[in-house]
Amino acid sequence: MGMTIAEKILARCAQKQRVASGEFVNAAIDLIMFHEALAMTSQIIEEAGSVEGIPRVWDARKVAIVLDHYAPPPGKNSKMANKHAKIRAIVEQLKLPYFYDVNSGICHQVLPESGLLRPGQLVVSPDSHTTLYGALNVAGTGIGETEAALILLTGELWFMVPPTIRIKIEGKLSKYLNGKDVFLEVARRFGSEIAQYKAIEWCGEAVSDMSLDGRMCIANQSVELGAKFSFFEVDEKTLSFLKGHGVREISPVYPDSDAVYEEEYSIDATQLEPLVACPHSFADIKPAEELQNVPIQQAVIGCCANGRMEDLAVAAHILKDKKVAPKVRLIVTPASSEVYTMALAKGYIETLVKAGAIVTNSCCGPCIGNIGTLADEEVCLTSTSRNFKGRMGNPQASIYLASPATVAASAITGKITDPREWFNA
Amino acid sequence: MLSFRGRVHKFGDNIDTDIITPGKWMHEGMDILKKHAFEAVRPNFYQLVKAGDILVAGRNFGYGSHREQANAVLKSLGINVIIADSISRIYYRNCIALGIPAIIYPGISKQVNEGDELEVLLHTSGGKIVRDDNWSVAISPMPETVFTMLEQGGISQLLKLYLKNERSS
Amino acid sequence: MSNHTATEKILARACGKKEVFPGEIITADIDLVFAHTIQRHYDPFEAIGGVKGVFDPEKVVFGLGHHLFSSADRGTAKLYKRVRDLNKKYGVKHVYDFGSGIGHYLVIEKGHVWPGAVAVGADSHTTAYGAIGAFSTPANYEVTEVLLSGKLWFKVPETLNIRIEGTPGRGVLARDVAQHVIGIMGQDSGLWKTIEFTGSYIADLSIQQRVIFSLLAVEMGGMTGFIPPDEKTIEFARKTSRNPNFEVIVDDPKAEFARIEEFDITNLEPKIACPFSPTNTNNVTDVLGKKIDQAFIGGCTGGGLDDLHRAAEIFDGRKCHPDVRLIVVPGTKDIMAQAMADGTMAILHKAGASFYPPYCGPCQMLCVGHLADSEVMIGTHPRNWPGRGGSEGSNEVFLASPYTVAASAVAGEIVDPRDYLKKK
Repeated sequence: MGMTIAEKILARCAQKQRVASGEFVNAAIDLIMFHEALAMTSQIIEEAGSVEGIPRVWDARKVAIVLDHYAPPPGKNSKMANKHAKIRAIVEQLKLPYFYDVNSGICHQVLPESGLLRPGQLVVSPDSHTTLYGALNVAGTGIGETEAALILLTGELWFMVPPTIRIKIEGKLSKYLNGKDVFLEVARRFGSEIAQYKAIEWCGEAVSDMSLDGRMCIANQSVELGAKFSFFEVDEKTLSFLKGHGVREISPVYPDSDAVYEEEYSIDATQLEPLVACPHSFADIKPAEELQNVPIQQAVIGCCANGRMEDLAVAAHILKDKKVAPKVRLIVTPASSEVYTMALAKGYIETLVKAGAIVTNSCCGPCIGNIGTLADEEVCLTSTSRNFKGRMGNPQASIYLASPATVAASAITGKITDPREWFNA
Repeated sequence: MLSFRGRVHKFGDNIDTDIITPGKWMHEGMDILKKHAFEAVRPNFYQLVKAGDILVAGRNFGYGSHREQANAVLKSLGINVIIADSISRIYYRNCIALGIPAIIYPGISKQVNEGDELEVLLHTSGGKIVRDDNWSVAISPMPETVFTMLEQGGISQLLKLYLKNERSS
Repeated sequence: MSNHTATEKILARACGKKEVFPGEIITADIDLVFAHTIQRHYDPFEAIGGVKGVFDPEKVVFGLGHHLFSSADRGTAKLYKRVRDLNKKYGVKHVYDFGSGIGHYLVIEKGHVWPGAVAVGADSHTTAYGAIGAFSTPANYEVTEVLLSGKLWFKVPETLNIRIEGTPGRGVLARDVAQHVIGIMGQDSGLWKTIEFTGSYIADLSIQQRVIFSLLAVEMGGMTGFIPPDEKTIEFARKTSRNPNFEVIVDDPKAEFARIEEFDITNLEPKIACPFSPTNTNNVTDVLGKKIDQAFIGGCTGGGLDDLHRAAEIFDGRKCHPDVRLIVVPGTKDIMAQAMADGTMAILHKAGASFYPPYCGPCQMLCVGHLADSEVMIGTHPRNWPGRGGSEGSNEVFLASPYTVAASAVAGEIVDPRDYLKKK
């Protein structure tokens, strides 16, 4: 009996010939990534009796740090600035070589660009969207700060080997649609718990055709389906991305042809249409067309779910020579400094600023309400990762979630809009 | 064997981490954060709980971000055990890491009510949930790794041991 | 009457008199009111009740996006929503919302003032508009009253004339010269006065560079900074001014100045304001080697297109030091778009800069970019008082030209920018 990608990776990390779903293993971690959570992990270690803080790490070359959630520190007090200073001191003291400061971008884009990720790795982070690395065939998953403390000292963590489901996206995806719409369709059709505590393997023609940007969006959003891992297979596009970022040794992990899947699902890409998740979860997803009368006050494009080149390109395409509606604030956040530079070169940022967008530096701000906090009763349409109650700083506000194209078109009209007629010929 | 007894506070489906711990208050320290826990769906929850209470929820409890404060806040409110129809993966892991027993029992939210008194017994060989009116259900055995961590009171206790052994070696 | 200063003549026009004299109390018609912290003015409107609207929607400019490019907490989001609603209620048209930029730049760029205008604003740097020959001065609580009446009383000020001649050395920019002047003059030299900048050096500056002088006049205690309109001003105003019939008002040939100060800036060196006052001016060479954690290019004295160009000159082909966070905040959306179109932003970004949307930047730590305890910042912004860096007074903040800030960002410590300029 063959193994799935998740089983193969966990077997290797647990130094076993084979593992099966449901089994508990102790696995060696290939890389751990921290953002501001490192400060809390350090505190946990201090409280456990190490007065000098983190005494050492098991392998400094397996630790990456990206300051992105509060980059730069917001607000009127110095609490977060001091937290950053503490993290910089830890980095210096432990001589951690992979440190990305506040000007680098969002961890989930910075890490793929860093060249530290390689297919087949087991990568964890105290951040739920770590599933994104599956776009590069990496077993990426979120953990807690306390677990991270144990890993820093020992390099190991317990895992339950998850069952794997396979989701096939057949046919061609139209240019009006984004990885976001694929994710929303899966959540709409099969529910937002379809992958609860499971691994997903994505396949099918639309997945092969999809850019890495699109795959990263889907892998990122997979955690909203409950997924522990979200895998894509390595192809030419993956290889060219990795090589372009200096990765040399690449050994892709493919599932065995007789691997056992808990369930297989299939979606016809040609039947998809732009979708919108209604407040405050992924339980209520509707076609954009059905929500055309909902006025919005804020629109957000970017962050780790949809702040990549493809997303900025489509936003710039739709907003070229147009204006954001007077009552709407459009916030655009490129996913990383690298993306920002490329978008500058392509003229996307200029187009967006001229259309009236507020283009921020690359950070998590708008997704978590450090930038663009909503007022009571306000409505926001976002292409970031979550629409939970209070996510943008105010439980009295409503957040709808959709693709960058849908958000861009809606920013022009001032209400939720099906983007299809807004594409230029 | 671990055993707990307490009064039930019941929540619905899809209680996400932003509901449990609103992002805005995340960095204000536990004393402030706990006053805002669940405020979007149940304001002043902190005044309604007492130490030893049990939280029962529907499907997908704790889904959303990894934020460990969303687990720690329950501890600080005095919640001893969480039982839900299903629990999001990271949230579940964090509960174990912090030494909070988290039990996935599909259908529990339909079977117990707000204010019920429950007794919960946990062991590697299995456990059960019992109510005073003789209603009870069996729960599946707990993996050794997980049980040990709960018994120790969470990873921080393991860390203490680890650091102590490291110093003495 | 052939001996009046431009200030006296502008104020005479605005109060409908033939002439006015220093010390006289007059009530002038206001051509522009600027405000950013708008709730301060609306609260009394609401308390009075029955207020129909502002005196003249064409003459009121609200810079909602001056201090913030976004709300960062729920309280602020709520507050701004209320302000947006009240703007509608009170008929305010010219609102520059989040992401638009710094009010002082916008008022000038979008033609809300013109030579000869009288402008007041609820912001101390409202002295800025004097750069295009307007009489512009900060008012505070009174702005509420002006919003309703369109009038304000003034004591006609005397004029202190600062004449600047000569050509400074290489690597010395308008900011260095202004820094030099305010350092020598001191914090209270301009109290209750118009500070009028003239001389061949000022005449050669662009409008945006002139703003640095009119704006920093307030750091000398000035009631306004003023630069007599010339051909450059008129050409600029013809393009931008919303009032096509503006009247160019200059000093009479025999205008009586309270005092004249002459500066020869030949061979002037790069200057820097050290903690904790904008007038604590030193030579950059006096503080070489001071380690910095954050460098900021922007603010109302350093967010202009010229400033970004100067920074890019230094950064071209260089990287920001790994221990320094480099923050670049263009003054307005148009400045940002121009800097993108001409490739400046690409150079700065490659150097490792983070761009924030246009607003006043981490000058006062009102939105983002907070310093940790005892961290050090260098910036092109106007002020470095204790506590302004964020944490309770422990942050040292240095103020200098975009050349000096950029070169120091590359080095990780304060350096002489002349060593970083390409040999001509």
